[in-house]
Amino acid sequence: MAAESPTSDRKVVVHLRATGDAPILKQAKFKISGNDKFSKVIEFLRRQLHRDTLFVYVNSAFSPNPDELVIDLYNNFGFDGKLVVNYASSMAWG
Amino acid sequence: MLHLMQMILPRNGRRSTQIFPSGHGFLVREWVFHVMSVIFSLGNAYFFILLLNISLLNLNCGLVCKYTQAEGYLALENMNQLSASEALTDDENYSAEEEPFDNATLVQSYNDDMHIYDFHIVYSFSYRVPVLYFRGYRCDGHPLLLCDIERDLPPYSLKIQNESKWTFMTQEEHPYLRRPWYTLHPCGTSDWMKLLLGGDLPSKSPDMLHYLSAWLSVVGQTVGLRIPLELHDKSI
Repeated sequence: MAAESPTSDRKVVVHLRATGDAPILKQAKFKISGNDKFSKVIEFLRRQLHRDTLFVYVNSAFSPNPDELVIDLYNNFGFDGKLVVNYASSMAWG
Repeated sequence: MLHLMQMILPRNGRRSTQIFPSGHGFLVREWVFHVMSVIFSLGNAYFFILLLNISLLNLNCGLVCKYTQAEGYLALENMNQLSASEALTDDENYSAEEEPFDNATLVQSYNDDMHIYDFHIVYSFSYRVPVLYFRGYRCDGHPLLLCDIERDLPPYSLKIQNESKWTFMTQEEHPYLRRPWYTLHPCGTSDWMKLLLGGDLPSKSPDMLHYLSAWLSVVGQTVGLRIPLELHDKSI
């Protein structure tokens, strides 16, 4: 892992913010490795909320691909030392 | 594997180039984003929309994908996707590299298994949202059936597709081409778009580049189109 840049090794504080009628988590902030994919955040929320269909988005602007690295999201859209992730409990297409 | 992405924004003349890792699914070597101005009527207000015309050069296959600026819709055509069977063939080739093989046969099977996708963004006047239409076909022009397309979908989409067959991805008439294309149901779009853009001040009309990139971030995931992060950067 020596070849990796030091920034990708760092931990990122993720702040999970409920929107709509989504339940609020007891622990809304947690640390996650920057090397982890965003899918880990989604999986964590699914487990906590016991829901399969969640709508997870960042910065009130877009829904990241689960394959994005948390550190990339933090570097582009983090502020005040944390990455704010919004979630809603429903996501309907039709 | 790294891919080169170039973003061209004629609005303020700023150019940026970024290297980003490949998403799963589409074999994308180079993306060129053209931001076009199109007027859409959304609700009561007219927004001057900066729309994305995405074109792609697939250097791997030597195919050049052209973007089309047709009346009424935006197109991203000739997207190549490796089907599951082709990926398997590749693996077999690696493991059996000692064996002599017939190159002509290999090329043939490669072409047979290549899935090509066309994506169109059409504005729905009924739902007042953009709607994704797409179709898939093989190199010989044979259209892909829904069961073929399902094999190319990301696992999460496949799950939704199996759970809600009639309210997710269905075949409908393309509003401009009058041919059967697959489409994503637009009923829920305005609801999740409201959630997505909820942080914006209501007095400020949303920037349409951001509207469309936000929309594309959700819709693209369902068909395996990965949107570069830079597209969502509000400072652009």
